[in-house]
Amino acid sequence: MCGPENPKRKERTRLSGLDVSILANTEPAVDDERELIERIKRDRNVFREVFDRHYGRIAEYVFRRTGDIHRTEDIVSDVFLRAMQAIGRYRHNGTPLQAWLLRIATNEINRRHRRDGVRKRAMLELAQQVQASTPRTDSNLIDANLAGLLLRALPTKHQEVLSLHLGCGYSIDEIAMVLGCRPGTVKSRLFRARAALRAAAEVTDNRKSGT
Amino acid sequence: MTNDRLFTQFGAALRSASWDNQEHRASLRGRLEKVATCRATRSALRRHPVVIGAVAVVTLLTGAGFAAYQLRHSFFLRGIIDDQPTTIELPVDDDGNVRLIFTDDEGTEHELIVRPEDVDQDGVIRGMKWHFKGPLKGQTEAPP
Repeated sequence: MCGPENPKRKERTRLSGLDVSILANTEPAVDDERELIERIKRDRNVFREVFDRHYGRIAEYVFRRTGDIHRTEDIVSDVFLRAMQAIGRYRHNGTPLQAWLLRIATNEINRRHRRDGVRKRAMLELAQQVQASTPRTDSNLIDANLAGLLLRALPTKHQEVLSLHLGCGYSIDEIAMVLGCRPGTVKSRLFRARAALRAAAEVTDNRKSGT
Repeated sequence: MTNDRLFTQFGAALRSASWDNQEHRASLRGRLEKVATCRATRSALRRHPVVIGAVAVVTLLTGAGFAAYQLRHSFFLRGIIDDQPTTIELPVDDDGNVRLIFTDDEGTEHELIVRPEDVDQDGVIRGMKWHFKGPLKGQTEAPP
């Protein structure tokens, strides 16, 4: 797709039948971004415009994946640094910059999650929290903390689609653009992710109610 | 709980943990303004004075244990410095100390010393000693 030339990604993107409706409507027009990238190539200081335009959405996504302010700041800094280092090789093919940045962010989050054993810790914390808490009735809402734990206790691919779709509101096609896969793949991942989330939520419900 | 209800609740809970963009950006701008008011000692000025000040000041403002590495990225991205952040080195005096002089909002200068033992193996400043002047004279801890 977008970003540094990668024939494999480019092919996957071409096949994905992209619909950029939300991203295209919320971000500057394609021509504007193409012009921006050309200006960055001439003057690196112009990159701050990319930072200003996309910082909020990228940070929000990272924060919903990590649930930690400091970790978010760290990852977002790395995301923009990597983007800045790579933007000289960027070939704009109409895909919004935001999708490219979200992909960099996704890769960086996944890398750090693996390195730090985030999923394992989330599973442990979830189990501890369930055992320590009072029985929960069906009417209790899932709070932000529990949602974050449930999310991080899921496999990485499930985390990606759930946080992008339910957490950030991106469409199937937009997520396909971000992850560099077909919309059908995103749909099936979402289906499996929902099933996994449902199973995890049931476990917590059953444990809390003592069944 | 039905599937729809579960996913609705889950999505709402995820979104409720919202990144307060404006607050953090204001905070970042605040940090940059602080940077503008700081200046390094003559020895420090020989190399990347703004960066040195930025790292020290932001470490101070955000609390101990906050990686200077990532903060360099932030300042780099904001266009404050025009250098590769990973090439930055803190200049040291003969005793291995980094000495920086900061000017506060009222124009009073304070000295900040980062000793070798205050910096961990990753180059992150874990502690520092202040020499305040004016009303804060005698204190060695970071101001609130």
